[in-house]
Amino acid sequence: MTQFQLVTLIAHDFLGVAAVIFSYAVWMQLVKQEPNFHSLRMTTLWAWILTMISWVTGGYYYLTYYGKTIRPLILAGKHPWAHSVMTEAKEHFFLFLPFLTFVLYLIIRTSHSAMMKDVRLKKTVTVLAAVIALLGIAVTLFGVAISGAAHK
Amino acid sequence: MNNPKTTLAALWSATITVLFVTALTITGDKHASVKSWLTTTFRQHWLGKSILAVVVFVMLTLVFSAVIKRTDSKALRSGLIVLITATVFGALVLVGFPLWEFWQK
Repeated sequence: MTQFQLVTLIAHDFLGVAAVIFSYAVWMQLVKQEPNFHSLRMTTLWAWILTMISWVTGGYYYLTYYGKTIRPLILAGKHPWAHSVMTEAKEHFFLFLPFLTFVLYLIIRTSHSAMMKDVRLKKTVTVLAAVIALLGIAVTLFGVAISGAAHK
Repeated sequence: MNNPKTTLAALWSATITVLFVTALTITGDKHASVKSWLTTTFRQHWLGKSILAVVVFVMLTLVFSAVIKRTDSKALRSGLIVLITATVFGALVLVGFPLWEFWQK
C-alpha cells in the first residue's frame, strides 16, 4: 500500500465516522421540541461535506487497492461473506448518503419555519434524519467486519 | 439554494437516484452486459454507478425545479415519505440480494 493510499483509507474511515456522528447529532437535535435550527444548518452541512469527502477517499482506496489486494484475500479466507455480502451491500447503499444528506441540509435551510408550524412535517424530517444516521452506522459496522476479515 | 422549489426538486431527484442505484446494481449483477458496459465506459462498475448517480440527481433536480408548482408543507411531507420508503426499500434490497446470492452458492 502506498502512503497516499493509506492516507485516503484513514481519511475515509475517520471522516466517515465523523459524518455519522454529525448525522446522529442532527437526529438527536430534531427530536427536541424546539430544535436549534441555526446549529442544525451547520451540522447538516458538515454531515454532507464529510460524507462527500468519505465517498471520494473511500472510492480512491477501493479502486486503487482494495479490489486488487484485499478483495482476493477476503474471498480466499475464512470469511468470504465479508466481501460477497458486506462490501457488495456497503459500496452500493453508501451511494444513497451523499444525496440524502444534501436533501436534509436543504430542508433545514429552507423549511425550518414550516417545520415549527407543522408537527407532522417535523416528525417526518426527523425520521429521514434517523434513516440517514442508521444507514451511516450500518456502513461503518460493515466496514469494521470487512477489515476484520482481511487477514492472511 | 434558499428556494423551496429547489428543495422539493432535490428531494424527488434523490428518490429517483436511490431507486436508480438499486436497480442498476441488481441489473448489473444479473446481466453481465450491463456490468461490462459500466466497466468499459467508466473503467470500473462502482465508479460508473457513482458518476451516473450524480448525473441523474443533478439533471433531475434541474428539471424538477422548473416544473414543480406546490411547495407547501404537505407536498414536502408527501415527498419525504416517498424518499424514506424508497431508501429503506433500496437498502433492504441491496443487503438482501447479495445475501441471497451468497446463500445460493
